[in-house]
Amino acid sequence: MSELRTTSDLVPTARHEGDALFITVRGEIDLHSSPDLRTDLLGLLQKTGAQRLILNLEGVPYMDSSAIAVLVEALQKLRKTGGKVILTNLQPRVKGLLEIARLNSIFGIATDEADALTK
Amino acid sequence: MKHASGLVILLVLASGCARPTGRGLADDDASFKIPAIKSAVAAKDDKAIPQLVEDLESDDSAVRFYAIEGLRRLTGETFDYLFYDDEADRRGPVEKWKEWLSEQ
Amino acid sequence: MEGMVERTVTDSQAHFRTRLTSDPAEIAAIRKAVEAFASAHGHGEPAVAEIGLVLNEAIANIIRHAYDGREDQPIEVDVKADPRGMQIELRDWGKGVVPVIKAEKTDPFVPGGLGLPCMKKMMTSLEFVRQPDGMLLKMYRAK
Repeated sequence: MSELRTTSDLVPTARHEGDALFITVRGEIDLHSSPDLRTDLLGLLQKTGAQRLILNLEGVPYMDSSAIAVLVEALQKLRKTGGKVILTNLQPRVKGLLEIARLNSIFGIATDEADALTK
Repeated sequence: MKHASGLVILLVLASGCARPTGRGLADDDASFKIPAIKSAVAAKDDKAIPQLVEDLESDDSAVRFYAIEGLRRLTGETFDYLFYDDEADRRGPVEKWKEWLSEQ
Repeated sequence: MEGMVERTVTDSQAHFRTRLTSDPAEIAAIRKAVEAFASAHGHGEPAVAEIGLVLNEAIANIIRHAYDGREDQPIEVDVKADPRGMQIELRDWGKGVVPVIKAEKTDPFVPGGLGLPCMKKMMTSLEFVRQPDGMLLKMYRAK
């Protein structure tokens, strides 16, 4: 298990365990902040070569479609090698947005990180 | 001679570093004031705060919008000020801002 | 009680208009202001969240498509509440192109915002009114 150094307020913690990359995301993610999230997520995926991306969104009260696009891009990259993206600790508005965008069945959804490991 | 040239350099540097007076934060024209507010907030310039508190009483709702958002980003506070409230309802939060400012 | 702010919703509070620039950094502030306005005028969750989301997406579309990503262009936001609901109008001075309303996309991997059909579902009405120098988007959400 290795803690990874993060330099961004959006991604305060990240750790690599086996083939899984656990990332905590914090803050509202919209058109203004989603480019930075994209840089952080894709950078960490490339660095670790992880196959499972587990994103803790407890600290994310709001996302828009540009944020969703970042998650979809991460998922598309991982799917090429049979990997997956699991979202945990969803706040109600974020859950609602995923349902509106019909993406709640595309991503794994888990209550927390422990639950994510069973998916 | 060495001393004199040093003084010349200092004078040149001082004049080059002087902030140009010009249109900006204190301007009455929103098309100058608003970009100045955005620049001050981006630079995390706390010296802009007194002017922003004054701008909470502007007749222009756009100035009020940028002023309260600027204050929120610089201080973390809003004191329940809503830029679209009418003048009577803005009075209370504006007083809180002035009180807060006097305590800084 | 200290800390409580009493607000009486009056006619003069039932309408506001303001101007923004097409800077993505400003979207969150106007979204929250409009959500607070919606909440103060009797809209509950999830309506407030949907109104905020549609406003967010509409402004993002103006920035991306009407203004090709330029961050220094004007956007006017006009919001009115009446006893039956809430109207939001967005005026831009951009390219004046009405987004093509495609059939609802079934492939979630096709990027490009939430999509007009999604936005139309969350508002009671949504229409683009061409202007000689840009576009006016009129939206209404009934309670």
